[in-house]
Amino acid sequence: MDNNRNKTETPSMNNNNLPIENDNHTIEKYLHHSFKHTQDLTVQRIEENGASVLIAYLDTIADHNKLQRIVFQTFLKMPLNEINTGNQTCVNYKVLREMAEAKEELLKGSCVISIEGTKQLYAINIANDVMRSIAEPENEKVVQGSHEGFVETLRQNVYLIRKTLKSDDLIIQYDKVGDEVQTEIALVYLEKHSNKRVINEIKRRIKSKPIDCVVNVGQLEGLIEDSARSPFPQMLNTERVDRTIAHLNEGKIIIFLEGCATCLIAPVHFSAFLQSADDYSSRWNTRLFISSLRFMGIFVAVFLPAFYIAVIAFHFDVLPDELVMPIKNSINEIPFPPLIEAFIMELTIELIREAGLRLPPRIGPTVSIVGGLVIGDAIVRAGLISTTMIIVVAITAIAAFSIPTHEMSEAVRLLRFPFMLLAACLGLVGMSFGVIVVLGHLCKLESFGSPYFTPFTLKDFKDKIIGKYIKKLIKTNT
Amino acid sequence: MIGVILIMWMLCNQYPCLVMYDIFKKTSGEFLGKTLIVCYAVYFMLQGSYILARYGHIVGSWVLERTPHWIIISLMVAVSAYLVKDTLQSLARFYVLVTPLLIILLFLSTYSLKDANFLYILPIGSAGALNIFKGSKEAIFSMLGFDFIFFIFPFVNGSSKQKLKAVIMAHIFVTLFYTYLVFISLVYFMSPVDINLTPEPFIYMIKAYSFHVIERMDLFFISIWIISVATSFMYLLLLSSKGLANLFRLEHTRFLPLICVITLIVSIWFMHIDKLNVINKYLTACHYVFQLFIPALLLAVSFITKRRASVRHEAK
Repeated sequence: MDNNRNKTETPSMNNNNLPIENDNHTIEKYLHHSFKHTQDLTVQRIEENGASVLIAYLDTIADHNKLQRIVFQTFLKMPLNEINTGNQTCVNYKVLREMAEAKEELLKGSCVISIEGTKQLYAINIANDVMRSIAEPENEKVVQGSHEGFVETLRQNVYLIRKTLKSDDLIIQYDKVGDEVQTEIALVYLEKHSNKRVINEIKRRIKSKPIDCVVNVGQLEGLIEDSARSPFPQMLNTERVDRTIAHLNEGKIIIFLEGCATCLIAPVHFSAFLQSADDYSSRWNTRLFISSLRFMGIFVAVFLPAFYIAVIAFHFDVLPDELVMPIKNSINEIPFPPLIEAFIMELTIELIREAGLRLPPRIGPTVSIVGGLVIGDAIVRAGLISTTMIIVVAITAIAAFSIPTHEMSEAVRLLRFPFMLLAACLGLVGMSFGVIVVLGHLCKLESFGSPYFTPFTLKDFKDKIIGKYIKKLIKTNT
Repeated sequence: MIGVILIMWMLCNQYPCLVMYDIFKKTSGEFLGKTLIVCYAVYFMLQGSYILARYGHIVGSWVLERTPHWIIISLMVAVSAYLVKDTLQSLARFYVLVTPLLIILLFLSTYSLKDANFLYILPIGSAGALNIFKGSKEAIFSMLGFDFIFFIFPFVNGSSKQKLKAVIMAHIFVTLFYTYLVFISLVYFMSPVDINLTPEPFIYMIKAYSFHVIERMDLFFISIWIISVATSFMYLLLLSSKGLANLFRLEHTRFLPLICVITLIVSIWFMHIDKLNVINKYLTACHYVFQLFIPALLLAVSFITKRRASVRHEAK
């Protein structure tokens, strides 16, 4: 009889909408089949209260203490009729409707229990919650203020937000992304401030784009951003809790991905990439100074090497008389044209940066000493590169690293190469064309329907900057 | 000049939801309207090529003496086409973004006042009012560029009075700005003879500046000025491509490559024959026809047809 039934069941093994059969043998077969006989799937069959019980869990993600305490000592000791009524007194369990649900629960770290005679499957969460402790993000350190950063567990991240932002306006929506392997994501926003159109657009894009598996926010970003071909990032990445909350209050939408300590913020404006978390805690004049310094940083990082090349190659008469001789002397003996010279040095700096990133912290400084001092000094003495070029390249590198967000810094570092090329071909005129194209591109970009690079209008300036300070002054005086 | 603006504005006001090209069709009938659109597209292309030729001439003689002209011009065309091919909105954002560059020009020109001799401006009005009028007649159309707004009238937010105000303000600003530049060139140079000898007095004047850290300000000035040239070329490109698109009911990006190639070739030809001033004279005549007479005629036609329509309405 039993064998007979198994034969009829076998073709429908892959069918996920399999109704729940109260036959432990079939269930065991089904589970082993759908998990392709992986060895960490543990299926135990025991006799309890006179009934045959099947307990299945993934050994690697289950907590054995919990299993012992919750399942064996509490759940199975409950009388059968109490379980059947669904009257959850001392154990929080879930009643499953389909076999596919059982599979999903197992992957989450639950234990699936089938008791013969009840016609139901139960799932109890016994997941092993191993998580990293909350630490300050390595690449977004601040001097003052909160030192909390996100971790790799989605719920823990949402907890960090909820804990700080105690508001009934805060909405969290879970969703899944990925076709083969589904990864959980969470959209977090404030109902009052955020734009419904943007939320729907984000959801639509997540649903409509096909992808097998998402493991990193970078992938997710590439999937849903407006123009993936642009060199500029259109969503802000951050690991800082305080920064995320500040953006939430501005009506932005936060996307968390399970297994990633970085969250995505959309829609963002270009200037958001130039803000650092320190800005919130510094005084207004310092903030103004520092943020204008960063703007200058972008400017220098993009234009300085190109400008230098343009001057050397085309417009030597731009230099004042006093500067002509020193620069002429330094470049006189150099065998390369300025473009090649600049490319050699820029690429060397990029190489040093990349190498320093991969090395353990103890060897890291050695690379920078070898790279910076030895190569820098020797290359000048060998007469390959001029001293002025070394100065230009060093200032450029420092300026590029002063940009607080990693992605924008990368974009800026990349942008200077085409500008160098243009400057070497057409001098300052070429650079103007570069500026037109880049500005035009920035004007075309949109981040989820809102313009990415709108300049400040006079009205904005009045409302946002002056208005804020006047309000603040009035508040503090009264 | 204000008259031109008013005529255009009244014409647009008659049909507030229509683009200028549709107004042509509406007032002058299908066939005549289409010919008008073609004429306007050609006119804009010609103007664009003229601007390109002028720009190529100045860059060629001041900055890149040895670079072939066609490279400089085709780069400009390519860059402008890249911006025009997208939406009107992004173009508008770009224009707003580059407007503050005018402040640099203002600063650069004001700096020359330190060497100025205000007596050079005198005698004012010695040539007689008629001559001044004749002179201004030639210059007036170099200030007309803001009619652009009338071709995209329905796309601009705001009431029609606001739009009129914006256009008039823009014209006044540009006129004042140009007058200021001319004034400065006049007070800087010794005599009318000097001015006649120097082809681009303003750039020549800037070239003499010395800021001790940086010399040859004219190079920087021209680099910034290129962006302004690009903006004026872009709008001509946009208008002519929109015109052709309206004719064939297609996306304006379809016609962009064609128009780019035509303007490029025409401008190179302009530079080749090396008679920019003669071309400018012909263009001035065109300006009169296209910016004054045709709109005025259309306005009259639209008034008559509207009145007739209303009379017929009453008769019914």
